[in-house]
Amino acid sequence: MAHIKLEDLTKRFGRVTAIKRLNLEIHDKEFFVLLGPTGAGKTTTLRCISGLEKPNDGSIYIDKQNVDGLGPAERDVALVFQYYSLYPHYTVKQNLEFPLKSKIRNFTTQEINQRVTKAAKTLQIDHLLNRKTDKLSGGEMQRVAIGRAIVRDPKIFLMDEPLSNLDAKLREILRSELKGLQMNLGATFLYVTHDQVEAMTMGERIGVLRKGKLLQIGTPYEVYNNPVNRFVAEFIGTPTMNLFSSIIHDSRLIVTRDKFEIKLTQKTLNRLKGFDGEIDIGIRSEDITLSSENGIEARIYGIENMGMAKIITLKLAGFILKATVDADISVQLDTIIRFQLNQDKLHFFNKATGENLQLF
Amino acid sequence: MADIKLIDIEKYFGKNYVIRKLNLEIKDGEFLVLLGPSGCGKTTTLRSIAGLEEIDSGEILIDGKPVHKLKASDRDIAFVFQLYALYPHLNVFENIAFPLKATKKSTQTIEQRVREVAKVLQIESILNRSPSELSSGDMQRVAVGRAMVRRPKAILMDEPIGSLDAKLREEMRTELKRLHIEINATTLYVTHDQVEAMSMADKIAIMEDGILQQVGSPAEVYDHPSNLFVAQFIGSPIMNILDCTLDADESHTLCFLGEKEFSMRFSKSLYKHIESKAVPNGKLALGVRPEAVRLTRQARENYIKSEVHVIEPLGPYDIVDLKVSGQHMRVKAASNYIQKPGDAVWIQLDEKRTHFFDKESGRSLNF
Repeated sequence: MAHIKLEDLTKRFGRVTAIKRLNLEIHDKEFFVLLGPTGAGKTTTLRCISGLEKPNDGSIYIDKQNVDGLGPAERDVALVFQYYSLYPHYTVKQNLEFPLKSKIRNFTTQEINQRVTKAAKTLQIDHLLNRKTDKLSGGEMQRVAIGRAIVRDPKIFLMDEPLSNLDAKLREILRSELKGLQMNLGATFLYVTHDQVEAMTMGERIGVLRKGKLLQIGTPYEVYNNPVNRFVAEFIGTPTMNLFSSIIHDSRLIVTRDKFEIKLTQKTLNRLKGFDGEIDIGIRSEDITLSSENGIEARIYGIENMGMAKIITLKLAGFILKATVDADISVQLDTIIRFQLNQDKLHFFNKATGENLQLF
Repeated sequence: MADIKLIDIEKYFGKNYVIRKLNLEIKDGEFLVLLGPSGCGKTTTLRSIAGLEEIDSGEILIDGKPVHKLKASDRDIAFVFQLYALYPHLNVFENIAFPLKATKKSTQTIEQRVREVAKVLQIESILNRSPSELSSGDMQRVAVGRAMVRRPKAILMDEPIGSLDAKLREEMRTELKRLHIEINATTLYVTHDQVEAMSMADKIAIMEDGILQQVGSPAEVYDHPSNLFVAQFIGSPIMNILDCTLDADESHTLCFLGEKEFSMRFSKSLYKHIESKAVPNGKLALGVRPEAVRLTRQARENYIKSEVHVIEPLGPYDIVDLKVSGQHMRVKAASNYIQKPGDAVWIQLDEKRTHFFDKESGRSLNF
């Protein structure tokens, strides 16, 4: 069992509040990702849980036991950082053994060997055991760093952007591997990142943090399809969600800037719960369809071939929209095309507060 | 503007080569992206063209004239380091005029040049604004304007948007490509980010270890990579590479991944083609992009069974990591179509989009 509970956690650095009354529960064996931009308080939260940082207020429970008074070593958590922090003059094997050789642990040589061998096998670094760590590639070093956490067999892994200084291809491979590893180990992972792709692909649940406050907790599907506000909507997903202002009035969605309007279906009106007035509309690029006959006119301003798909930039009066289409669809730059918005996939945000209208 | 030709360029740092026998042409008005991982020689190539670095052998021609012996300042090339760094205390006009101030040109000439550039870039109406009032797209236009005002033969850019956040980078990409379409300046753009290369380039030149691997349009390098390196460097999610062996019966090519129990069937002609191209008894690698695999939850004829290992949701779709005959294959699936790890699913590869490589040399055997 490794269940984490944060209760009204607050941490201030001088006059700056890094986290503000944070309440969060991470389930046993869960892969939980804390996502947010720089300065959101993600790393501070992680450091409070590990015991490296003392919160000003609130409590932390691990397996229902209050750990506020415990030091880092007594909490049975392992930390993996963005920077590998390996001992460069040691071999991979020596690096992996190091956490086990601590006096308070009392492992026999045989036990140490067993654990190191097992960890090395899991991470596919068994062929590197006798190599010095400064002779390793970035990906290998990160595997060793994770291996050093694994050998201790901790209940909880805390990971702070462990993939962020690797190249794109390696990051993609290690994402898959880390998620597989977490399932195999049956351990609880709390993973901190600013990269929404990492959060989406690895997290069972994602907590979106901004300025020390949790905005939303949900599965990848939930935060992507039902973002709680404009910030989450724009932070999750690529291309960034299209946003434009409009007016809802008399069963119609009216865009004054481009002088077009859309008749809303009853289903959409139900979702709007009688709203009337100015509103921000959000729509993801894959929920816009292009057509030569039906829909609103726009000029094709840009075409980006991403291989798997094309991203088409549509120019309207005063704003642009991005639409994702199949890679084999051929369109001409600077020609006029028509597009339609999938009404079921429209997001409605309060103009002033940014809150998703449907959820409040 | 002009065309740039690199002929047999070589560059050494001590005994190690940084660029090896590089031949590359950037046509007049073309947007060429030099793409590769760090240390591949792309920035050294750019700096050699600019004259900031001397080459050890080979020739650099601009409009047919050799320039590699000329000083940087005599090559008529503009360097753009960052597309968003403007002098904050100067207005747009002054920012664009800045490079001319040092050239002792008359106020009248400067005024005329700046207006010309502003017209091309469609920023005439904002010449009096300060940089802080500009949108990201306009800021970029001003940065490019500052380069163009000296009437260069080409514009070189080295990771000019690399340090921006994801959303702004996305915006900058669209705007820069648009700008290029409008002004058609010969542009050489260096990046390690394949997304930037794919989305902006007329042509992509991929470098690895000082050696040019392939030059082609985004569609060409994505659909027809010439070797394993290009195949895996271009595209996200990355192309699956699996060990395979081929055999043939009377009517089909049989493709085995590991164990000889499951085979995938391809057309008869494939076997003959690969046999004619491959090194005898050489090892083969199969490459297939996640979107070129058909995936179903029910058993179907000519599909092979596999097991779900990890599900990675991306939003518009999921990437499902499968175990197939002891190897991993990541496959694109509709969002939420696959329920959980451990489930059995069936897959079939689209032959037209399946690649074969010589595992030793990495060379594609498809052509």
